[in-house]
Amino acid sequence: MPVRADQEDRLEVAALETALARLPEEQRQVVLLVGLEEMSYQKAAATLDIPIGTVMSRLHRGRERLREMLAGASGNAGLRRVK
Amino acid sequence: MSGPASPILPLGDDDLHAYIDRRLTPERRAEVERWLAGDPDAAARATFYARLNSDLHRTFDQVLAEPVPASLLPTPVHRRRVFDRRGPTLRHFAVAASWLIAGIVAGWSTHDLLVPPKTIERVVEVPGPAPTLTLQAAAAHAVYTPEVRHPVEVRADEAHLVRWLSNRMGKPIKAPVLDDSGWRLMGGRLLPVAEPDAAGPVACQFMYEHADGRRVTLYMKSVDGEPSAFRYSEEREGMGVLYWMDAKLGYALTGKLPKDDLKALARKVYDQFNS
Repeated sequence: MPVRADQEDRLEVAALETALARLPEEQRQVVLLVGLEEMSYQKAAATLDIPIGTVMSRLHRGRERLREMLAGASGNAGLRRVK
Repeated sequence: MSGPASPILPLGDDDLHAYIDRRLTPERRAEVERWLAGDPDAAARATFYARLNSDLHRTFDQVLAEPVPASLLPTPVHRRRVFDRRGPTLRHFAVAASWLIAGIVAGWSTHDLLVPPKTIERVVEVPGPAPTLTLQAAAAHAVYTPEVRHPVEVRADEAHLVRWLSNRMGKPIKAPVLDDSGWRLMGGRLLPVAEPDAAGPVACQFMYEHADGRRVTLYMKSVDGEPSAFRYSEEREGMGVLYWMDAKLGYALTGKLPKDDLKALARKVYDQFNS
């Protein structure tokens, strides 16, 4: 059962949304396929029809870029945990 | 455990990501953990990556629990274009991610209820056989997975495995391929079904093993009923069962795995039976 988001939660969701939207498409694809869909790197490579090395470099660049953006947004080193 | 040892291969960014995404062998995982213990910067990055993954799940699960607006249904999208460049919202990301995987509009996780692609309208209840299904699957899992010498009746490399089980079940059975998730098919076995009103006298079980020694089983028995949503229950300590039904078979995927890992595997099984 989805829990109704509180205001703090909404701010975090908004920050994540903004950061994802600013990510280059090719990086966002890999971050979501691996992080959300839990695809293996091989499967992500096959799905996107790119070499696995490219999956890894896009994943790294995408996650690092999100880390920079979200650290800048919150003043913290990363996302804060919200229960 | 032995003391600190030099890694066979140098550790780097790829290992850090693979550590968070649970794609490492136990040996490599231990090496990464030693690295992180002595490198606060790498540890901070790993912490962020892990939180990012869990926050993506938290956010998208919530978004996908809402009805999908008609404006987003269902424009077939070439996979190269599924991620819209024009001011996408989280819902766009989530729906696009589902399309990319399933090739059709696919609802995914709410929490304990997962909706298969063909029943995207909310499926709320599971008909009667499900609890029996999970009990039988969990019992068979508990009996056979600890076996060292005889975990399966017929090994995967014997060509007649699937044909034999299909003949005995009286319907086509498939042995899903889960190698790309790290699960190797070991083989299968036939099992009796005891209840008098069962749709068929036999059930079957496929067993899969991970490189780290964990095992999962896929239990299948005949059912007469309506297709159901995916459901999850924890039958015994730490042992999860993810189960669902189509018109002919009930399926139960069982293992001591995090629920999300079981969900991901169940989806692969579902897709292979429906491809």
